Amino acid sequence: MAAKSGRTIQFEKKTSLRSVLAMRETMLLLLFLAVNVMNISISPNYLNSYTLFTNINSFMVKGLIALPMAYILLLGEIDISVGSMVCLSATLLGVVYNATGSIGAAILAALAVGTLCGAFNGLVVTQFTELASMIVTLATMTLYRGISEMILGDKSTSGMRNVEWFANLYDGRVGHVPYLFLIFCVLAAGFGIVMHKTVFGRRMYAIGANRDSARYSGIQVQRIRMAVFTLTGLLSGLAGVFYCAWMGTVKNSIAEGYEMEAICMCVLGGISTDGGRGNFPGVLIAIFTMGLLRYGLGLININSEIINIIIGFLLVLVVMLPELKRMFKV
Amino acid sequence: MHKMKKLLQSREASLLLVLVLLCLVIQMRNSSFLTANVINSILKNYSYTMTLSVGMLMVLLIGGIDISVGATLAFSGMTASLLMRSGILTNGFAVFAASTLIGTLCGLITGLVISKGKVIPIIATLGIRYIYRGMSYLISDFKSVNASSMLPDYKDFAQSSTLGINHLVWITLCVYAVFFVVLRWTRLGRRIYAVGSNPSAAVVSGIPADRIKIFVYTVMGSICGLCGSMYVSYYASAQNNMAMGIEMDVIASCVVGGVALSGGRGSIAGVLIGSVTIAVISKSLSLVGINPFWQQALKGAIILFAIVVNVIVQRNMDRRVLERREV
Amino acid sequence: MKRRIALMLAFVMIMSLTACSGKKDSGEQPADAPAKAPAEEAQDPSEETGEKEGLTFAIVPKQAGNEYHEVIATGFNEACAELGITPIVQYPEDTSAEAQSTVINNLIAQKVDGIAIGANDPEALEGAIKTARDQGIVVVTFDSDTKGSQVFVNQASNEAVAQVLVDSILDMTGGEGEFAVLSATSTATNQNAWIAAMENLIASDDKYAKLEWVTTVYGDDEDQKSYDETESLMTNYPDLKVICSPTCVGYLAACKAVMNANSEIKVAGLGMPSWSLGYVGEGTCSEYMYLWNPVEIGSTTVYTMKALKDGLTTGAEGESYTADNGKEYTVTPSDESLGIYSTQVIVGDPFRFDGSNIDEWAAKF
Repeated sequence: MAAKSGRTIQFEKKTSLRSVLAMRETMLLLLFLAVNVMNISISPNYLNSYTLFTNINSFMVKGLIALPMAYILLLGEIDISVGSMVCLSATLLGVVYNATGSIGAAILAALAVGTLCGAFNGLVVTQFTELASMIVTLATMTLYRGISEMILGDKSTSGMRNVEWFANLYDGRVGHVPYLFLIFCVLAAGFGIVMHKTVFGRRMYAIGANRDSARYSGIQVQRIRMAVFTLTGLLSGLAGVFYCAWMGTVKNSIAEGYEMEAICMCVLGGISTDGGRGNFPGVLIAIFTMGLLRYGLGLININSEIINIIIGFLLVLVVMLPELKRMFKV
Repeated sequence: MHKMKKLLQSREASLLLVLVLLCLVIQMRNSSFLTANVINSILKNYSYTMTLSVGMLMVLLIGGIDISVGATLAFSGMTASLLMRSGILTNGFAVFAASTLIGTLCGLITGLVISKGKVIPIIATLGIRYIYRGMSYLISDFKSVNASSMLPDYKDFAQSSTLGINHLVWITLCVYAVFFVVLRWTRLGRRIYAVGSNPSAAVVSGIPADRIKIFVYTVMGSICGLCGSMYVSYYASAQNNMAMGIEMDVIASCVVGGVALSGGRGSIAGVLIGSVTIAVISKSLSLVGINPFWQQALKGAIILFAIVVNVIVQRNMDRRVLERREV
Repeated sequence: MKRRIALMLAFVMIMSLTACSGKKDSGEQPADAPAKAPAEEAQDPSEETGEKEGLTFAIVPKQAGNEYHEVIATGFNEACAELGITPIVQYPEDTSAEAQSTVINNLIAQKVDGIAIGANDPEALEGAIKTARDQGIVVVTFDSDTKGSQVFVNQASNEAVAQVLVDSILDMTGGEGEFAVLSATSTATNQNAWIAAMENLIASDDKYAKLEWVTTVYGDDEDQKSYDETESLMTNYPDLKVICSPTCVGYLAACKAVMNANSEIKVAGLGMPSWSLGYVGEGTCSEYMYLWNPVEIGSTTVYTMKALKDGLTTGAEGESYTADNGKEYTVTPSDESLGIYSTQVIVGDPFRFDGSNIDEWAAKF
């Protein structure tokens, strides 16, 4: 499943790693259950499916970004421009809608801009392989949000929710289950299958584990990196569309900090930022664990800053786990 | 002569050229730019970002990254201000010392988590960022510390100057001078470079890599603490959300200054030029009447430009080295 | 192996649980005594409200750490305690609209009876507010209005605020000269309403004809940004006579920047007495400033929600009612041109603070 570099030292490392991975997922699942049990016992209002889904919906937009972020991290890259890409595509959606009156054209524009931004990231990263993706996306993070600022200035653009079917992208439900949640599930399944069941997925693992050996074994590394960065742009564009359907108004400061939340979800889910390690189901569990933890603690009115402290602790602890385990054993 | 040529071809020289050009363009459009007053105000305003860049340089040199600097700064600045308000600290110097000490402890924890806990730096500091920021809200009970509860000599410190240079800028200069010496002429400095350029070789050659890592993150913490009190003294108010997101500006300063994120490459001179460039872009575009809403985009474009130019210069340098070898 | 997993998990859970329980009393509450108990009980009342025993009102300020809003929350808590209502204070994660929307959804899930919002965006909360109102929850706004709210508890009428601001500018410039405005965020409804009202006022009367409004800049209600903006104002407009900042954070930052630069510029605006000690009075940059009583905004919010809940008023314009504090309020019409989409209840008139009374008021808020 993982990299093809088969030297003995690395092989040994990998077997132990696999057990760590298995353990992390079990632990995540337990954590997820624990959070739910805690929430149920804390508040009788937690299990109301309608409001539960309302609140799940509100972290689905961030969840959409976490999906491609898992790929990015798997490659050993990082993309901190996603928040700005969400902002820029949402901006375009609003501006195009107000200029043309056609929400369809606006959605296309948003997706196109997202894809374009992602492709530009990919282009720079693949043309100048010396540059760490962190630096490149740091620059484009400033640039993309800057362009949104140039377009919007200090104004906001709105009115998109006046189109009923568009607002329904976020509000609409089948029974109690929102469309957005269903869309997320379908996408997540697709991302999971590609990551674990296709050649493309295996190649991503290979690149993440060792970019050079992947290249020598004939994988077109740059093409795959380009594809993943572009995909991230597309999904950020999609998140921008859903953001508009949710809020109906866009200003230049929206989606600030989404990148860190998405990275946080992926890492908590067991994807290593070193690349080449992690499983997709872990990411999904992590998305819901984090979201529901926030929701549950919010139900008993615990301040969001304190929830942040807890999440920070969880993040560090989960990543330190293998090391802690080793220390305990010794 | 040869030395001169080498200097001109160095990365720092090309960076300096970019900075000089930028300044000239601004100067041509607004003649009040290159006056002592404006320069002093830009440097004063960016003194803490520039100081933080020194710490970040060392972190990047060992191949790490620290995105918790804003949170550490806020936590130590806030704690020191609370101690000042409650009357425990009775003079300005003590506030600076306390803040630096708290920052040092924060940095030590970060360093331990990264080196002993074997957590990848970006993740460790991402988590720690949430924790320190949250803690600064907690200890202050979600309130800010106002100017009226601060010591007069502490508030005056940031507003007064010696030899025409603001005190905050003096601190920045001192920090640069100290670390210039440390990185250039001490064994410690060479070890920091060694750990970053080839970690396994460094370990094999007997360098205590873990200890160097802890040391570097601790120093980063101290600098955050120092900057925390600089920040509070400058604005005469300690707020929980202060310096939010400053890490990106700091990393950008280093990157523009030619520091490689992969470790082992970068210099104090480069960082100085890089951070001044970022300061000039951020502060003086409004002086030449550029629409403030264009600032962000221009800043992004300039960072992108700088790093790409950097790569091209580096490629040329490498090629030249190869050519020389062939000769 | 399994035992270790269990151990780890237990450790994590204990960590998080101790963290939560530790927080409850220290963090979540804005310090004041009456607020303390309710937070501890917060979960029981939400159970009870299912059976309609006693009311629960929630307040959603703009952000954590905004002291002006904390003072409002104090007033809110006091008034709730007086009326036997359980108060909930829940801060959004940041100043974004989606964070507030998340908090509102969360409060709906807790089945509160009323929500008061200091809106971070004039439009984005409409969806969440609609959901709340569909479930019979009373929703009012304070400080800044947003679409969908039933009533906007306005600190003072926009015209009155604009009047005092423009008059201070006129007085401080000595009748003519340049002035600039330092606002909060560019999308802050209340700020924009006052700025618009100031424009109308200046255009309407010849005595303001010699005032030159050079620019409006935005400090985003952040100390640092406001300070930096003030510094650039001083550099960019050397002939500037007055900086007018209709926001407490901006006002304070402007005063600091001006005093530190030893500039002749005067600062006019709205400021919190306790923050502005040392900057207001004779021989400083600002001889006087204005504000209202934020505690009263908090309490009026509670009385208004109670009146709506009790059916004393429907929030339609022109209605009058006597609230539980014995005061009579009249609902005034909305004003979409100023960004006020809901009908308004006016708390009072701006109050003047100067060297003679600032110490006395600083002790209060």
